[in-house]
Amino acid sequence: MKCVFIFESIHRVMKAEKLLKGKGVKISLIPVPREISSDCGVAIELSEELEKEARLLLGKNKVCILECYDRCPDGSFEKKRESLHELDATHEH
Amino acid sequence: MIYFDNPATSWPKPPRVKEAMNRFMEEVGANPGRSGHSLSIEAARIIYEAREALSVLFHVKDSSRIIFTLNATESLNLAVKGLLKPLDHVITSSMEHNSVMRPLRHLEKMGIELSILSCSKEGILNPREVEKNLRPNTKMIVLNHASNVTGTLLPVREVGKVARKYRLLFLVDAAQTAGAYPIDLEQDGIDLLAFTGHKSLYGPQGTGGLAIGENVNIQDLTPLKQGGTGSRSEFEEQPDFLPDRFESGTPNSVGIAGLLAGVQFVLEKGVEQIRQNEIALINKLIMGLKKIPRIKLYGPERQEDRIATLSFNVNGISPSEGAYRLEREFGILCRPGLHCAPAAHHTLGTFPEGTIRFGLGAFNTEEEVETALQAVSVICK
Repeated sequence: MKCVFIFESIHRVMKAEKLLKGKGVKISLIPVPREISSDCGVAIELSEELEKEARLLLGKNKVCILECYDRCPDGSFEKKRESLHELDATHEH
Repeated sequence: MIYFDNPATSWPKPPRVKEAMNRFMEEVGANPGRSGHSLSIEAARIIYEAREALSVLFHVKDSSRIIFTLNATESLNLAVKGLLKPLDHVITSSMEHNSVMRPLRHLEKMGIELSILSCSKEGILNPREVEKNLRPNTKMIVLNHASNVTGTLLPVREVGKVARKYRLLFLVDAAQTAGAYPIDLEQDGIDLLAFTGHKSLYGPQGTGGLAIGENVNIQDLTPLKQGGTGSRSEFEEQPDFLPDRFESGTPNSVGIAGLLAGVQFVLEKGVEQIRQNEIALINKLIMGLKKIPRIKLYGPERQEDRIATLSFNVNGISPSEGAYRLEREFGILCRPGLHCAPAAHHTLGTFPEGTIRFGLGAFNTEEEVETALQAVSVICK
């Protein structure tokens, strides 16, 4: 399954992309699915197995993920439970 | 042709600046971050990289605190109009450019108290003057980092300490120094740094920015404009986060692509190295001009007190006539007159005729300086 990270601004998407790709984490930039939000236009999609690693890396570098969704097999999006957010070590501002 | 008008805008630019802009137009071209397609993302990447490069140059930890504007003037307007309220007191110097002076004079009419500290005939400000002029309602100090008329460096680091001590906001106009003199927001005690892209950062015109230090609460800084940001599109209110809070409307992406290339040029060459080369040339120019009779030079003697810009006059020849002859007879391009800085010329005693200004950049050479000295000695005969 895939998961989708939403960020506050395109600036943070770019920062997250550079960090993750720099560490070899395979991600794609996708237009934010309209079902989720109209925030900032671009989101990061990655496979579920990489989610934890990506979250830790972003948290360590103070890049805050605004929301995280699972892309369900039927194409719908399901917002992740709050408990996962505890993995975000620190939030930028 | 010899180009000595670098304080107005640097020329030529490093070839990579034009190449980066050309690449943007031919291969990128899209609206950064708005649309989610690959070209829009690539445009956003370029803007992100430009912020990162500038944050390295100015020692800013979080590059989202670099806000892009059209030029230093817009950045200065954003900082003073966004932070000062009626009855606040603001301190500035008598060497300021109109980009500082006019917004402050405008605010003075709106009820803001303004103190203009006198500088010496060389344009030097005694930092102790700042402390002497503090009032209970003093909120901000605004200083140019170096004069666009004489190249005189103002005591930014010393004044930064005063600002920290009394918890005042410190806004620095780095139009003449960004890229030509080391700047460190933290060590210099600068809260807000207004810079332009088209001078010593070697970018194109229509680029600039404001670096906002960690001590400034961005919610206290009112944006100059509101509008589309590509973020929070479902809301009719302006986003409150950086950099979107201050960047409404489609940016000058092609310009910022060029600015990124210019900043990379500066970072690769090194600000210290650029400064050393320019100082060696300006010293040669000053030594040569001093030997020519009828020349009066303005500005400080010591190289520690200056950047590579100088002003002079020829006794009996008006600045505009002198500059005209320098171009017509010798192909030397420079700027005569008041340089948008009437306060500075009052300080120097050169108002209203002004001076002839020579300002050097990274591409000037020793031969050009020698040719210019010969040219000036000819018009002085």
